[in-house]
Amino acid sequence: MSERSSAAHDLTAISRLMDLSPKWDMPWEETDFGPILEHQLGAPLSFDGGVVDPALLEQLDRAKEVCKPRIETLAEMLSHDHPPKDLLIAVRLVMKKLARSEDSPIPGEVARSIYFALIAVSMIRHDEPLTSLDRQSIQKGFDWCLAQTWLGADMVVLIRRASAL
Amino acid sequence: MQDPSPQPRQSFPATRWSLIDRIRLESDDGAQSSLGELLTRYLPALRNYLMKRRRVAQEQAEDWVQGFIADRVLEKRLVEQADQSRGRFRSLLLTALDHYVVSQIRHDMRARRQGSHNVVSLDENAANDHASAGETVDVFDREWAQAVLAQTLESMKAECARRSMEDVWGLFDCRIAGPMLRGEQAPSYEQVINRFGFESPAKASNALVTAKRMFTRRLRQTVAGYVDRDEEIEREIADLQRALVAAATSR
Repeated sequence: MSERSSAAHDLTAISRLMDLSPKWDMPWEETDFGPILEHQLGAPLSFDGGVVDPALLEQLDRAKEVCKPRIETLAEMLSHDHPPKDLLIAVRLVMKKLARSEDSPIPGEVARSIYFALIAVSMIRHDEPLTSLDRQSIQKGFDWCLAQTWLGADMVVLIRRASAL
Repeated sequence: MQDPSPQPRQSFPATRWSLIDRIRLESDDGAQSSLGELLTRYLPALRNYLMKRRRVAQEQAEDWVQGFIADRVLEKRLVEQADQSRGRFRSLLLTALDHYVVSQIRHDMRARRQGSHNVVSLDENAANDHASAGETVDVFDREWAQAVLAQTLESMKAECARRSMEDVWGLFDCRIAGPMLRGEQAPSYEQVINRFGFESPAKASNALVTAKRMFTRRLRQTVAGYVDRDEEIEREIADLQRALVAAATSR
């Protein structure tokens, strides 16, 4: 960058920093989505009430309590032999909310991939998707997931398996 | 960690018209006191302007600013000519300072031609290439914006340290301030997590949002120190943004 364009960049940067509007663009890049997904899968299965309806969070907590063996993370849920239907539905609804909200603390793409992974688990473990989405829409979602280069290997296997059902 | 704050600059204060009104309207003693306050606020900025923009040596800048104060501000009562409806006081002040400097340079050149004076330590272009009023204001706004930013970052960093929120400052610095202001590579999400140990993506993102909000609050507080009324804060910041963008696009 030349000295002149660097100086112009500096001025523009200061101006952007001074933007007082409440809008706050998602601070992560697409290259971060893979690590964010991996981190989210291993994080404690709890969400704060900033974006998600507190009633939905209560529903999620209740569903977690009755689960044996206990599910602590999303990764455990996706690999669980018998994840409770209530828990699958509750977490999926949370992800739906996060995928659609502009204020979501995680990228919408990451939330969307988890949303479809939970449908895949429902289809594999319970022989039903536990959603009102029709099969065509589900397949479209699966195809979208499989096109994401940042999706982890375990999720790819899971979604391919459900896609073949 | 490298200190992220830009090099400290002397602030270019926004205009406090209430102070200028007091100078115009009060009795001699009150006016002198208000004028003293005004000069305290502007002197460093005027000196800095001459040194940075005009490439004037510090000693020369000191001399000219002192001369400007004595000749134009005090003797010719420059402050009393300030009219809020005709634009910013700092524009008036800088234009007057430029005119004063040019008159001094011409005076020195005449004296030099007569072989009776030393060469002044001023960039050669300054005599003939003094800024127009508009350019002067641009320079002033840029300096002012950078000073405000430096002050804001410094106070935010101090607040984070005081409230044991070093992770919020660190995250803001490495993900936002560093890349935007110093052209540094923003660390990846993984690097951020390894460095700060956030439990989940939501916690990392929330920390960034907290940092941005704190920065915004600190920016308002910084600007509030230079304006009379709260409602002027956003206008002042918006003016600065416009000036910065205009200056950037003109380069």
